[in-house]
Amino acid sequence: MRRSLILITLLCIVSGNAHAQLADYIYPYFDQPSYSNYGTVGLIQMPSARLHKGGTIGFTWSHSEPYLRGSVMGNPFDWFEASYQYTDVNNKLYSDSREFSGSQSYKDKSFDAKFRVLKEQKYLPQVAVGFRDFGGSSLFSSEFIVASKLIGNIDFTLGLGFGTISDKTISNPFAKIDSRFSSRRRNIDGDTQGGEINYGTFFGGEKAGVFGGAEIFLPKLNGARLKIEYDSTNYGEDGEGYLPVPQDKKVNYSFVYPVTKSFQVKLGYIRNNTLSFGFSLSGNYSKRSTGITKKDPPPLVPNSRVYREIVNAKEAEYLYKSSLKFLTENKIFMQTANVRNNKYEITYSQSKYLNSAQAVGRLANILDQISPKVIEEFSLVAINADQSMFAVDIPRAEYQLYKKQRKTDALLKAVSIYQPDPKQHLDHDYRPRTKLPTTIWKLSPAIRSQIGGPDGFYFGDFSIAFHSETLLRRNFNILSVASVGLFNNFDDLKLASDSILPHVRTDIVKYLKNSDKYHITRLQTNYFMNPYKSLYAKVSAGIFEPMFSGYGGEILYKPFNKNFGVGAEIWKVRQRSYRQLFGSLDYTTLTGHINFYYREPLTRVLFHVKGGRFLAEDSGFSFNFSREFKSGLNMGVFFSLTDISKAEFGEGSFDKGFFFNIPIQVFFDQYSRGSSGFGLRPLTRDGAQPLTVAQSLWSVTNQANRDQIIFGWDGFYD
Amino acid sequence: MIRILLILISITGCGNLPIAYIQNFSEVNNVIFGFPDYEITDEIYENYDNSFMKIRFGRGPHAILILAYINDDVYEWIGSDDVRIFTYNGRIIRTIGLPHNFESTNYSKDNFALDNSSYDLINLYNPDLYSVKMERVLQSKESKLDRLGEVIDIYRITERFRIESIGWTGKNIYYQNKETMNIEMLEQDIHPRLPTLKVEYYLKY
Repeated sequence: MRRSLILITLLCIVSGNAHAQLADYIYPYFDQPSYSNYGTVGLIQMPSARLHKGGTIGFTWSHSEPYLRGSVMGNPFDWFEASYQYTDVNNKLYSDSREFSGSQSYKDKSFDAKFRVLKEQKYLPQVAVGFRDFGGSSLFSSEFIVASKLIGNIDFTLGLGFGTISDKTISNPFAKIDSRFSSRRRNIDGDTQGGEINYGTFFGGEKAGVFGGAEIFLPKLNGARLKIEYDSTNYGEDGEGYLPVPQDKKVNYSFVYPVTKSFQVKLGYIRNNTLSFGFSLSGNYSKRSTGITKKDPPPLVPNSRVYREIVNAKEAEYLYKSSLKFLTENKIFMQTANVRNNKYEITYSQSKYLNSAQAVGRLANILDQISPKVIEEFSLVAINADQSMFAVDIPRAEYQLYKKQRKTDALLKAVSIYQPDPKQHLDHDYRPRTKLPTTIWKLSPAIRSQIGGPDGFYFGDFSIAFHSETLLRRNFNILSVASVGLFNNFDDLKLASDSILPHVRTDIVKYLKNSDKYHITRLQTNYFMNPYKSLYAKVSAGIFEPMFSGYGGEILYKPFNKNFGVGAEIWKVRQRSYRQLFGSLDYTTLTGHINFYYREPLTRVLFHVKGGRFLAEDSGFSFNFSREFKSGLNMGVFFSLTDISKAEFGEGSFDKGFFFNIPIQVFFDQYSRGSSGFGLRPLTRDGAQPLTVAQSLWSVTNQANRDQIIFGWDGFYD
Repeated sequence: MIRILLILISITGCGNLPIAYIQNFSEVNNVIFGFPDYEITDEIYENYDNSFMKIRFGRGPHAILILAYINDDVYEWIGSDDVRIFTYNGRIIRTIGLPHNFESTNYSKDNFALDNSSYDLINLYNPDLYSVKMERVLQSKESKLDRLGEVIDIYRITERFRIESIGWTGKNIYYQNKETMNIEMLEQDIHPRLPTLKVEYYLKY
């Protein structure tokens, strides 16, 4: 410990203080926290109080015998870090039965959470509270309270650890407040299958451990850091891991080198006997612009003056037709148009812009270039699946006034955003003939994966997927997804379901193995209705998802100026054959739910409760919390509780997981609406499994909300 | 790098959550393996009325900038998204419109003189850092270069630079035509937070 302090002091002296401007170059990526071997932001093995900014997604991989760790992290808020850890414990077999395990080592999956409770001030450190492995097998179960303070170019950390990060050197201070903290008492006895949250152990134990260290930013080394820590992990028989791990010294060292702002590599020496190495990737997607310059500016209409003069001299039909031409060229599809009292009304749909306000801005930009001076206002109505979403009335003078300086705030005060009458456009003068049916399609790569089972670490297949949408009418479509497998390693995948519930999900191995050549994922028809303002409905039939087909419907009440929605859905479904073509199995059921949605307008957190009967005929509730960011990134967590016992549910005890959806456009220089999702459940079980039906009414009517339009309004002139 | 990982993660379906997809495989290919190079052919060259430059940051996509102005032998090149690059004797001395910009405030009139080492005063932007001293040492050797289908003799000038105060060092390479003494191509580090900028000049006079 003394040697560490001397080293820290020496480095302080060497680096000295830098001027702020110089420091940005001498210590680049100063604001980028680094990850611990454990997989969350921290020191080497120990946590720190640092967190990434809200909207950050990260991935780490590290190897320090006997652990190989991978983790995925998300920061929904500046003050909250959630992570999922996957650990290969290579000094322990997968199960106690050698016949079952084969050569597979033990795999542990766990969830972690860290909360910032005090933001760093000039004279106060940042303080955070964290929970490791709180919902899994509790192999690494621990809690901590930690403080970090940046002084010069060194970030000091000091913390108090409980559970596996307690080397039991001091009395537990909480035990003096309440005797219940004097043991790591488990509140879960008897009927447990693992995976429950062990509240009873939190901050418990007769003794706690003190840990600490420093992250030293090295000058002129591209943001490299040296980490030194005092490791309070209990590697003994009652500590981390199934088998004890030798710890020769409690001081660990690590060198972290940021190859880029988002990619860090690290090499360390821990316990005075083990080399560790790893890498991490992270990116922040909270802002509208994510660093990729878009090469898709608002279009300039060639010879726009000519258009303005021609339409001025003739009938409005010229205006309609020129609008249709230029809007279609820019992937905005005019449905109806009408000129009334110097107001130019247009009903449109579009599938290019994720941000609805940006689509309105692009539309207004084209109309402003080609419309005669007599037009003083644009009234633009967005529709989706023939359902009215929102309307914006834009005074043309204000549009032009604020355009050059992109004063979207000022423009927002001048425009009117409201919910249109669903029948309003029926009396419009101009209704261009639409050639229906029409089909759009694309080919894309697809990977299906099974990770962490006893048969092997990774099983997957790679296929080419065909996606299509055929519009029979504006409100009647057919969706399809079909794939042709290119290669897979499913041959050794053998694990059979042990579920005592109907196998609505746990036969995943059979589905994967029997559909590896080619299969149909979806073949679904949808008929949408918008009978009244705020009331939306649809009926659907066909193949909904890889495991179920059937028919049913959904209804949603979603007031435009409110932030909630209430809906109901009911589906009669039959389980599909493992071959995933048109065959089916014997299992049929009726599943349905009442849905309640509430989006908190400031934080953009969506709270979704789904209550009803699930696929395995268990009844209960599913809770989903997610947050939307300016870039379109959406991340969240979910869990479900139903009327089956933990034993019936099996390992994991209840359904839970997390997900994020990231818009494709953040990676590219063109705008697009597509997004990619990543979702993870620690275990796939049969309880609390809802049917997956594409184009839910909540997602189809996403734009039908005043706050949603205002949220993206700063992108109006993009 | 994060883009690559997220793309790979994103086309992976885990458990039974909906499997995601990528819209355009060629775009994914570009992000992972870099954007393909393309050659300026005689035909492309002839289609431009003005002098232009082809630029590329690292393995990123290409862009074409057109020569817009010449003031006191400083050439100003303008791109479609308001990026401006200023060159003097073929060497980049200033940029505008990039995420991180650069400016040389006392660039040498004879910026490829090999007789001794020299220094420039540099401004770096985002983060802003003014008047830092950049030391330069040049070396040259003869070589050949294929340009528009012709092999030409060139001087391959290597410029090693160092900004001591921030610990930034690097190497720029200029390909100078032996006959015209014009710079035909260059690879120049203009900002510590940007990949190397590669430029090919296509002059029309």
